[in-house]
Amino acid sequence: MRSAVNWAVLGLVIERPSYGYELFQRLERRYGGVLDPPISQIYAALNALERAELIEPLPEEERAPVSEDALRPAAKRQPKVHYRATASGARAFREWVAEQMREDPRHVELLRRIAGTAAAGVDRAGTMRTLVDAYERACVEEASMLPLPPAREAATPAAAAGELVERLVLAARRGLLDAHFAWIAYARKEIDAFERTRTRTIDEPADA
Amino acid sequence: MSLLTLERVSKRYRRGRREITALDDVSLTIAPGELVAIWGVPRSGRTTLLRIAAGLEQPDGGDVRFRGEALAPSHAEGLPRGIGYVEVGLASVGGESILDQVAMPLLARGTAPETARARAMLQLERVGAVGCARLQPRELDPTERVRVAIAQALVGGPRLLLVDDPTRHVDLLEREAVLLLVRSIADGQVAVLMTTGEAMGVSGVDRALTISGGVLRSEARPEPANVVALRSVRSGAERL
Repeated sequence: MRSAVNWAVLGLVIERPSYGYELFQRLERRYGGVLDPPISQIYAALNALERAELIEPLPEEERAPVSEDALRPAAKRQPKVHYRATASGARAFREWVAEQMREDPRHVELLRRIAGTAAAGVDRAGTMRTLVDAYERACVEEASMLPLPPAREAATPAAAAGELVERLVLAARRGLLDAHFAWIAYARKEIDAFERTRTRTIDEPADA
Repeated sequence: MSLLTLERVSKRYRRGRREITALDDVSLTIAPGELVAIWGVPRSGRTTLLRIAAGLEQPDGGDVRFRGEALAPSHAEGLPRGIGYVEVGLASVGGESILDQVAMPLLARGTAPETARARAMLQLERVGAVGCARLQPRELDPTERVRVAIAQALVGGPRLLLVDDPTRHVDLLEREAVLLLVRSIADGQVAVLMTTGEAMGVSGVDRALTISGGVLRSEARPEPANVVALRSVRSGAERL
């Protein structure tokens, strides 16, 4: 799957089960200016993701209480198909994120340490959060030290080419930091979910 | 003395039977003339933080002080004196010209229309949007909308400007100009507290914080001497 829109839609569905129009709005809020697909492309992404069994329709009885968006009169009239991620969808998304980050050894090291901590059990969720916090601090420090791009004011073609390269290099650094930042938000949710699962397992009586 | 102080501020919303924590034990101070960016995704609590700092919402717990005094709940006509709030997606009331829209906070205060318009024009010049003065709100492009919203927030002469994600709907190539404008406002001794959803938004700020789940988490204070020269960005990419 090559389409950035498909991956973005999958990421949003993993965060929260959702339907086409709501996903369109969430995508616009989150990635407006970077990804601006027409709504038809959201529906195409949902079809492609469902065909690949990365998402599935959410049974009606499992839907969350009515969200704000669904209160709009237009949305009330017809039931929307809500989608949630399948286990293979969540796995595919994790692998895709890892792929995006592979070129950053610092991030690989963080993942290695989180994996080591995860194996040690639920009481280590705090340690994992500390690792993620420290990583976030490093990212925000780096982002704050990147200058704004140079003005487009070069007098010669050679200088203009130099500026162009500087702007592109800077944009690449920023793009990576944006990806890391999205990953940090995602990692925090995963750690919360990990802690809940582990707590449930421990709380269950031995004969259950 | 700090200009704005939030001390252990918390805020919860009810949604049906659910309770959502928008802010959890948030403490923050802003010094006069300082430019502070809060980096967070939508629903992280970032807008609630700005609205509470503006007195537009009341916290459930904690204190908010502006110039040493408790922030009074804002009146129907808007914000406490000395605070400007920039919400992009400027309210387009009726068919007034942009000039009149920018002048509106002054007109609401009872300033004479000619004076109000003259001061509105000065602010439109300051934000680089003089050309929009005679236009209607619906004629603006996204970047102009941000500039005009900033002009409207500045017209009352605030000491603190609160700006909610100014680059969100702005074309990629024009975002830096918007951020440079925000920087120039802080350099003009108006403190700015801004939210952003992207790495570019924290470039050139005096202090950057992150927010998620209603909690302020990381803080960075780039020293000007540490701001990497572009040449070293390339080696930086290899180092990481």
